[in-house]
Amino acid sequence: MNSVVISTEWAFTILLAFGVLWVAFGWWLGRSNKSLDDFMLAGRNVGFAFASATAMATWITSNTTLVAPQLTYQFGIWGMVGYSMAALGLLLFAPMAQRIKALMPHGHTCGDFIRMRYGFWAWIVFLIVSLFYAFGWLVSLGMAGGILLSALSGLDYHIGMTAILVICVCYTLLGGLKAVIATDFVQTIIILSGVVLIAYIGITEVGLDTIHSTVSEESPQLLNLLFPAAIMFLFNNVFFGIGEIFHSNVWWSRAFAFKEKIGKRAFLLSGMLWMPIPIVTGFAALAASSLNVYPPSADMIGPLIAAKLLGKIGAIFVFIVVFSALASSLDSLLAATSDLITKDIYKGLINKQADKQKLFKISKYSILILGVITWILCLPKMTTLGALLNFTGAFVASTIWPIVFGLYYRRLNGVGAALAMALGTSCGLLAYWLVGFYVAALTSCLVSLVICLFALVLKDQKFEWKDLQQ
Amino acid sequence: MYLSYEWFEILIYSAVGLATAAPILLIVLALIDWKKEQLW
Repeated sequence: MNSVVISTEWAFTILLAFGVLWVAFGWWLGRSNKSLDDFMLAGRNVGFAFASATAMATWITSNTTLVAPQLTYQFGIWGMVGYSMAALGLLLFAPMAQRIKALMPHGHTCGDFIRMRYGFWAWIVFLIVSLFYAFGWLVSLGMAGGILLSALSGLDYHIGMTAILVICVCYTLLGGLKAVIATDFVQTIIILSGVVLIAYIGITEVGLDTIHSTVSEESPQLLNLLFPAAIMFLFNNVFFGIGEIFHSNVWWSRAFAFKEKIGKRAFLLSGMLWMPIPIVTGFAALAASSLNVYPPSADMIGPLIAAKLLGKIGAIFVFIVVFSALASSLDSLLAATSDLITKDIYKGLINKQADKQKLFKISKYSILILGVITWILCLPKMTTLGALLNFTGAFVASTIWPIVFGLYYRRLNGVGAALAMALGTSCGLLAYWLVGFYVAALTSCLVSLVICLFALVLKDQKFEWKDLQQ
Repeated sequence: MYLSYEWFEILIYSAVGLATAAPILLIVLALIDWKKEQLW
């Protein structure tokens, strides 16, 4: 089937219109940014509605709109249900967000916490894991931008990827976290309205009974509740999602930025509202056979189904929804990773005497440099979105226990935490190559837990919580 | 063991229903925060 459903001119017009809108909005919000805390943490005063929307929008990524249908196409029911279990990360982070804000009212990054809680070497291992994941996610988002445009408009992959990166870098640079959060709110409303509309049309046009009966006849394994690889995927995805959220500065920066006592409620609500989204975006992939859609690669199934269901006008709508999903995550990741580079790498390793004004400047340069590096890494379309994303699972799942024990127990020491992250990641990568992507995060998390437990038994440390207040 | 049509229908309709309520709820919450001047 011909996947090109809107003209190149239309694609450019939408990109230009939304690009100008987001950048102008970012500039307008950025005018009130006077300090480093304003730029990095939106003045540490974000209210409940914006807090819930930004947590939700950031977690609805191109992966939710493109990979959820891809996984449903490959793993069936467990693909979409497994993906929706990633909401557990948001739900479980809710109490942690409150504790983070209470323990470190003046903190800026998750790196601050690891450095003060576990010391230098654990901090270095954590930074490597965290930056690797951040680049993996940034590249997967940049690539998704290119794939979306080429699937829907026939535009060259490189042009689409470049346009999305430029727009997000510009408004994040101008408005900082305030721009990221405000645009996230608008983007959440666009995304939710869009996916719901597509789902309604899918149900009306094809019918759930037709989808179920066609899948039962042609690919019954997609409805198999005991599909082994899919069940492994479900558990793997739970740990992957938890690891992604627990360790990433995207979420820690929000915990620092939300108003006092808002974090817990906001993350709980965002988790509950996020949970159905992968099912809503994913189930349409089960209609592929009924609609005679056979994608050239699995990660194009979502846009192709939507375009087939909605036609030309609908394809424009899909384009806007996926573009919003991409932007809402890309901006958050750019801002949070730039915080890590500014506070942990620049201030922590390069220039310890840097004042807040200097860090304000470095923060902006970091966003720009991150954009350029991501663009370079996205140039060769290296792998499918799902494969890239799952590769990073081996890294992030190793941080779950060091973070949890670090926040709630005084006893775990720096050597134990560093070893747990390093060996957990190594074993997760071995499992990724020897068994499959669907066990990488699971293995990494289990190995990390065993090492943390050993460390707790072997050495008893009494960490003073008040040290984190500095 | 395969997912029956009944459970498939329940799964999809509840997901779509929740997703429909989400944007409405977020807009209402934002209006409340805005009214109380607590957006930021």
